[in-house]
Amino acid sequence: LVALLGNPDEAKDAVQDTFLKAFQNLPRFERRAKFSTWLVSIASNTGLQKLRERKGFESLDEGTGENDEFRPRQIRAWGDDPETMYSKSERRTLVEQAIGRLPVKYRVVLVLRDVQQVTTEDAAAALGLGVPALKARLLRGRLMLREALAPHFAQGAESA
Amino acid sequence: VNNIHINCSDFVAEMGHLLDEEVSPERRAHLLAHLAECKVCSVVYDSTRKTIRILTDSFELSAGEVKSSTEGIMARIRAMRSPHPETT
Repeated sequence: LVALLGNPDEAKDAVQDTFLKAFQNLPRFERRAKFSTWLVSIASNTGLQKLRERKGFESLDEGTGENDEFRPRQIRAWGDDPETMYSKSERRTLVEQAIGRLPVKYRVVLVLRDVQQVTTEDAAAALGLGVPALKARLLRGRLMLREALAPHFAQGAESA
Repeated sequence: VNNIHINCSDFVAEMGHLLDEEVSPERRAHLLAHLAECKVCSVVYDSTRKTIRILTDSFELSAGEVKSSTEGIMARIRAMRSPHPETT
């Protein structure tokens, strides 16, 4: 949720709201569904609700097509351990800034898959997408994040 | 004889399968063969793997963050329950 909302305080509220909603709605949880899928869908909806409350909310569905061909622009190699170029908190700041600039529809998928480690199937179910559509968005999001981080992590980049 | 040539567009479009290890051994061999001969795709693939690693690692919650988020949740639950004094 921090990655989704870009603001730790707002995300903390959203996490708490998520667990409260889950706690309050537990009797409505259907045993057919996986608990993690259900929780993720509440978290995504809570996060998305907060995004909608902000001015200028972008739709989850509009924007550039992830099936258009992607041409990488940053093609300098990265070192074996790019993590060592920054402290953990500096890395987190760089990632937060980069992910915060991505269109929401890619940000949501990246957060579910690569931060929360939700399975492709569960993430697709939580967002009401088919598995191929989810995979296409995930790849595009990862490539866009790579472009944004490359100036900081490619060999020869200036570390802080 | 399989004469399958993978160009850079094919590789980038299918890179997700390789990243998530959701690819048949045969297709994987074709994709890796392209990587071996294409410097640009090799950089893009390698740096995307590292991007995912950095992203995942950056948002790992520390024990302190888990504790503070749990405390926040408990405080809100207590606040919700407070208008209804417990009956003994």
